[in-house]
Amino acid sequence: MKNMPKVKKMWVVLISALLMLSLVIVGCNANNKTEQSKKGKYPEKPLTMVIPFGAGGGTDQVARMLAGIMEKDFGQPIICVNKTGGAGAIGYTETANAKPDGYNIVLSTSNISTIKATGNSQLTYQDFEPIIAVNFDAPALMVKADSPYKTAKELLDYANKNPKKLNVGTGTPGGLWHVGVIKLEKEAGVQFNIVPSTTGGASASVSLLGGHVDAIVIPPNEAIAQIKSGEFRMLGTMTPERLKDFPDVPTFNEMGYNVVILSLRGYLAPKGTPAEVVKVLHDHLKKAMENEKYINYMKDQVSNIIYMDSAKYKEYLAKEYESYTKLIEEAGLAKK
Amino acid sequence: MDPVLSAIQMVINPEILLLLLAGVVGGIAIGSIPGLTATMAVAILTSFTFGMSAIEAIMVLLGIYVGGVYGGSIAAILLHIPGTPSAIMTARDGYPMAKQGLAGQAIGISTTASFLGGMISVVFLVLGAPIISRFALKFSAPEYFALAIFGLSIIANVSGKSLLKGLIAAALGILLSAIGMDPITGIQRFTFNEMNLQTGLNFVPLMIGLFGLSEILQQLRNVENHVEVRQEIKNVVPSFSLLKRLSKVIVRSSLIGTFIGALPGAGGTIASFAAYNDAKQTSQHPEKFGEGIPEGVAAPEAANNATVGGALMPLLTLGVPGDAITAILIGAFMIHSLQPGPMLFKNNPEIIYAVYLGTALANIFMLIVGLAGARLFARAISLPNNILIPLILLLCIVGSYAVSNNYFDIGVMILFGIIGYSLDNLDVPMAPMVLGIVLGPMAETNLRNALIMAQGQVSVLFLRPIAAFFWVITIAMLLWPKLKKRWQARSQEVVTEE
Repeated sequence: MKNMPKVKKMWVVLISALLMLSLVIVGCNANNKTEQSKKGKYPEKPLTMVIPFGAGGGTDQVARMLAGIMEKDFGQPIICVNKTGGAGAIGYTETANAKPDGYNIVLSTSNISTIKATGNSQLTYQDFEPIIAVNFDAPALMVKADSPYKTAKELLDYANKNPKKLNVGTGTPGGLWHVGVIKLEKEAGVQFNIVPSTTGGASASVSLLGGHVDAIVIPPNEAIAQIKSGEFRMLGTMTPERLKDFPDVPTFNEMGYNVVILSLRGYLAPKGTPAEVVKVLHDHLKKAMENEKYINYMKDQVSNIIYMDSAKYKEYLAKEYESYTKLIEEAGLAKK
Repeated sequence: MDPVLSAIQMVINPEILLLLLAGVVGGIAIGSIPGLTATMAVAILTSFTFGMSAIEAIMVLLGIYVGGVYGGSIAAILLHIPGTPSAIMTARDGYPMAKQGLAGQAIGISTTASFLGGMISVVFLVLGAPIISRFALKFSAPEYFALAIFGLSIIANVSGKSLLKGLIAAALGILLSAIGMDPITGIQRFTFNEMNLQTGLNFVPLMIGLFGLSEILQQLRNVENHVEVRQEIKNVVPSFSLLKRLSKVIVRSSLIGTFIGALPGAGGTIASFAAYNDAKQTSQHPEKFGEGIPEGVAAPEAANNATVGGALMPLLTLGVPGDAITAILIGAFMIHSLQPGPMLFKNNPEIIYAVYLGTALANIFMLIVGLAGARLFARAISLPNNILIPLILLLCIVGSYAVSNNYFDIGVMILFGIIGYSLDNLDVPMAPMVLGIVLGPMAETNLRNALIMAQGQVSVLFLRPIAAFFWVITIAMLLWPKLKKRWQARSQEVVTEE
């Protein structure tokens, strides 16, 4: 470089600096395949938090919220990565195959209890170490404000007389909201024309807003703007009890249909992650959950906080797996 | 207080302006690095804005958004590597311009067009957001399918000499896009039990290989008799007469970009393809496209920056995202207890006006930074090849890896670099292949969803008014060149008869 003019030398320096910058940015993204030193105190490098659903959706928001709060105390950056597809199977696979060193966790939904039955993946809760449960959502049947159906009964009566006439939008195919619609069909003895949406519940609410479907079954927090502005009307929820935020909306349970669908969110680490590391993660996440920001956020979101420690969460997942596998078989979504 | 006044008070404040400027500069830097996209930047930085006030957070993110969408054009022009997917079309004419020693001018045009596109979309955002986003809601699966088919018809226009080769490339692209999980049933296709293929091929490394690495390979072949290109660094700011010439293209492209941006199911990449196509179709010298014509840079850049204003429309008025970045922005709003959508207009109108103002200011900052930087950027590629090429190669590798921190993607990049190089030497155009990759999944998912919704009635694809409109313009576009030829022949006959 000796015989190069000064300006050009400056350029070599500048481009090299740019490259270094990009390397630094790359370095900020945790990487699950590089070797790390075995010694040292956990955590000593960034934590990768896999979100098995798209950016902007419910799971994505919860993950980014908790990551943001937790990062302050964690001492290392937390990188949220959206790995979408296959009703969450891709994100789960990513984490299940990652090194069980405590630097890879996934924000799971109850899809972990359905993807095996639906044939999306071979994975179950048994391939992971449960860390903590953080919140739950439950789907609700909604229509547009100008819809002729004022109650769930009116809608189901119409569906009863006109099988396959009502277009009912819902989330990802084979996902839990989809299962909820099918369960409702069975319980009420009706048939809808179900329109799943590959990109999740938020797209279903866009469809309803545009009048392309007659009703949707997604959790309230994925259509919150429309519910709050009165553009959507909720006809019934699939929760065991009425939601705190919507005391006037009946549950399908109390209407006499045994449709209870909950999607519980919680964190999972790859199988074999050391218990003491799981404990550290649990404590950090629990602290993040107790943060006012998370509590207010859940309230704004009309979502629900629930806490389970690692052992309880594991117990719950075992039960959930059993009951949802049955549900999916009943719904006819199971793959042999 | 009047919400407009309080919005001005919130935004016109040295601290906020500095944050916005930092966002724009950071966005440009990230956007210009291949592999790092504006979407990633916004997603990652959202968590850093937790500690900020709502207005600070929104301004930083808007700055990154605007800067990042623009920044993609820099690497596209200088290195033939689109920094972001929406800059693919910019490389088509921008890179030839750089090779002719006009890199500075190309960046100047791209900056000015991006600025104008951004500003025009802000005007529409302020004046027509509720109407346009309500109209965008009329788009459902059949409309998106028709739009995807219209997009694929652009193949005819970007195929270069041989339409057949263009079609081969497009079919290859669609085939590649089918790798991964079936969008409706979740069944795996063409994955051969390879874990890394489960989600399909990652688009960014593929693109870096096809465009960037293949170009390096091409240059290596000629490295001995390579003549260093002298960069003409004067006249970075486009002259008034050039702007006047480009004005029609910029306005049309901005309208296309604004509207496509407002559609929740389509984004900047499709907008830039459509705008380039439109510019070529309406041009008097369509044959010069692809050889380094300023229109070819202005059209996609005006369009992709116009998608910013477009994508903000459904976000602000309906609370639904217009693209991947606005999806993340919704989360950022929520974190600060702001609910985008109709309630925001009622409860926090000042935030809406602050977003309008912030987007406009971000565009102005982008113009200043971009024009000031154009000379510097242009100088960067006047480095001797023995230094420049290794640096670009390194950039290709780092960029491919950065997308999802996966070594597999570097392999994908290298493989597609070789494929791109081979295709290039066989005169198979690469733009149709990219079209196939981008539009294949959109066409497939929406075709199948439309048929589910209509319970198998194929007529739904053609009979809905908006879908029908796209089919008509698709057919018209495909027939246009033939008709034009026939008319020209006939008018010549008339002339000779006289």
